[in-house]
Amino acid sequence: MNSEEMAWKIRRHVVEMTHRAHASHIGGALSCADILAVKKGV
Amino acid sequence: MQTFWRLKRAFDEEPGGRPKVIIADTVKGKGISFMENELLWHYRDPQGEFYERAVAELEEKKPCGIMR
Repeated sequence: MNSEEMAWKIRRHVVEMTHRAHASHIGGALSCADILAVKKGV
Repeated sequence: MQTFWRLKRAFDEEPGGRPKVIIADTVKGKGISFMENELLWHYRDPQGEFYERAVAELEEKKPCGIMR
């Protein structure tokens, strides 16, 4: 999985988890998806 | 795509024996158009129509390599 795919998965999970939990700081979580994807991924 | 290469370079760069810090100029809500730079979406959770739109937007932009 490349960084673009990883970042997408992170964002998809962020939306899903905040939706189900009825709670979030979704803004910050989405903002660092690309950074996390590079750091943890390829 | 350029973002990923710049990030990778920043992480890989050798600081020559000194501490390294990376300051990223990020966009809050990045990746969901109606959330980007919107104060409410700093802390709101997506429900109803907002959830549907967020998922639809992501599905539209889904990279080819992802199966499910």
